[in-house]
Amino acid sequence: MKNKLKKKIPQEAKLTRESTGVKKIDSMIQGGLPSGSIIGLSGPPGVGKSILSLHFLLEGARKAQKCVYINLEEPRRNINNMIKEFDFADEFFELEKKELIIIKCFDYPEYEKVYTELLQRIKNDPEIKRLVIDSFNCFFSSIDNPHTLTTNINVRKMITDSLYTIRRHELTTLLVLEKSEGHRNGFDYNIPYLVDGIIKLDFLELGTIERRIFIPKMRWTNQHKESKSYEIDKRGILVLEEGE
Amino acid sequence: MVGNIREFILKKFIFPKVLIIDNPGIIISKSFSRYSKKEVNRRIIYYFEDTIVDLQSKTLRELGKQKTEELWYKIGKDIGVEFLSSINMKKIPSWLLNNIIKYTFESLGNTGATVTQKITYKKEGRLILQGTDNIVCRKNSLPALSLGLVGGIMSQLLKTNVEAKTYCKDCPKTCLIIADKNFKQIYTPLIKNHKKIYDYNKLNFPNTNPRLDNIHSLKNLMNFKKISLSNKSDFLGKTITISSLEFFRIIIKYYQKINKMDVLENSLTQTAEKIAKDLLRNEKDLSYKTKFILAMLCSFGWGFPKIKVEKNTITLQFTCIPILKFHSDNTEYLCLIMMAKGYFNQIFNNKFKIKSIKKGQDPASLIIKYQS
Repeated sequence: MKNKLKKKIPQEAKLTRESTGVKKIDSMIQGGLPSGSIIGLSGPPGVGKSILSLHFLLEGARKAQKCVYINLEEPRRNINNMIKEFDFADEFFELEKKELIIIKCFDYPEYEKVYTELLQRIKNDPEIKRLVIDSFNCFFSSIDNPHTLTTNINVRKMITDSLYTIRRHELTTLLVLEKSEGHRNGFDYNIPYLVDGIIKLDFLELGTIERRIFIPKMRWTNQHKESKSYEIDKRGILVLEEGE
Repeated sequence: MVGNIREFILKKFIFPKVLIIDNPGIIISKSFSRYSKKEVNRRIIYYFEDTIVDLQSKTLRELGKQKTEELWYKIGKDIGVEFLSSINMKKIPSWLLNNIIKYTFESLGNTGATVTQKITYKKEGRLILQGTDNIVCRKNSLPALSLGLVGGIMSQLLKTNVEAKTYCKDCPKTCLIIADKNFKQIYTPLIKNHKKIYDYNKLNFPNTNPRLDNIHSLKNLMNFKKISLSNKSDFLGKTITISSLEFFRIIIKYYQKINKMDVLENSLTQTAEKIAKDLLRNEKDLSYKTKFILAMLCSFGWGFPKIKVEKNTITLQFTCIPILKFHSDNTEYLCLIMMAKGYFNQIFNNKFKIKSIKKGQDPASLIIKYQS
């Protein structure tokens, strides 16, 4: 009986991981993000969420993975200006020319239009391995009456559908999550419960500004329990060891 | 075995649970029972241990040991009575008394009163508390505040006047407090029925999410390893403890009564200057120093402070400041105002005086002007 059961249960595939592009963040999560996982990247404005996204895209492209970056708030020139601040800018643009990094800036936040175009791209191009949506909350910012029950249900359905599609194509995804004003706990529609992990960047201004990275949730991972401080300079995000 | 099971059932199902709700500027202690709709919300604030240590030491120099001990015993007892008076307790059945006394003093232990490490209650009405390194008196060997507090709490629990004495040895290694209803009467607080503020709950526990910069909760500071919370909490290496606005109101009341407000003001100001000097030694920029102090006051539960500096005048404005349950005359804020004066003296390297204190349009707002 036991032998019959053993034959029926498929062998568990070994979990592979994708580097975030920042080694010390990888070391906090057993070497990287679980492949095919959807990770929420949260924090207040200006902490470096978009910068971490750039590291993530760059790392994927370096490994010849096709990476897509969707921006729903900024025009293309702003993205370029942001990239140019860093030492890796030349390499980044080079990889973009080789179509290993695809940057798409939508100038309309209506979810239905972006959703269609985005999913079409994903379906048509199975080589895409990494995806960043910056910011995921923008999908829902144009919805009128977000707090009615009907709208709430519809939006939740849209979110779960989109996450399902992304998972089905096994894309390792970063969803940049902006804290929305008026929600004390920060997020709409329980997105943190739906994703596979949360990387939280935060800052404290007690006089001078300090930044810390927290990883409160990461499925299939024994993540580092303590937060780590980090800085941002021309190299991008630099995670510091305690005492540095 | 039976005693342990009983204790387990009482703690798990009967005794009220205490939840600390930590928001930027507003820290609430919520006591609620599983089987009762009644909730008691209390607005709590953090302050530095050294504030009281230094005040007691300076008062000692001014008044001498006996009068200082009498003064602080009364302050402690008034606070002990106030601590439980908001619950409106009925007489506790004798079979439950031991458990309730233990539960109450274990809760007190979370404020740094480590004399409650071992709690023994004897049916004849005697409570014995033992521990080490008790907050405040561990630094100045003046246990009067703790004694009064214990006496006040026991008086409320036993519904009769209880006094407390200390039998400490080798301070602060062996703290021993005995409270007994048969001790000779020292002081019996008067419980007055004051007129309540109509919208106290709305004012003291606002449902607010202010869109302000630089507001932090204790949790933020804990995440950034600036505060560690335990039975001896600390903020950047300096011990802090919790209390309510009532504590400071009582201190002011007594110091006004004995005409020693100058001692109070000088002590609070000087201690705050010393604390600010230590905490801000790595900050050079004036605006950073100011932000630091305002963020600290906010995370300690004092509401949302803002500051405006013009020539030789500082205007400090608080919104959502804690308020008393009963009508007040703003004197309850004097301790905070004096401490803030000390912080500003240090930041601006100046000596400020308190020019004016007034409430804003909202009763939970306070505007203080300092002038050099």
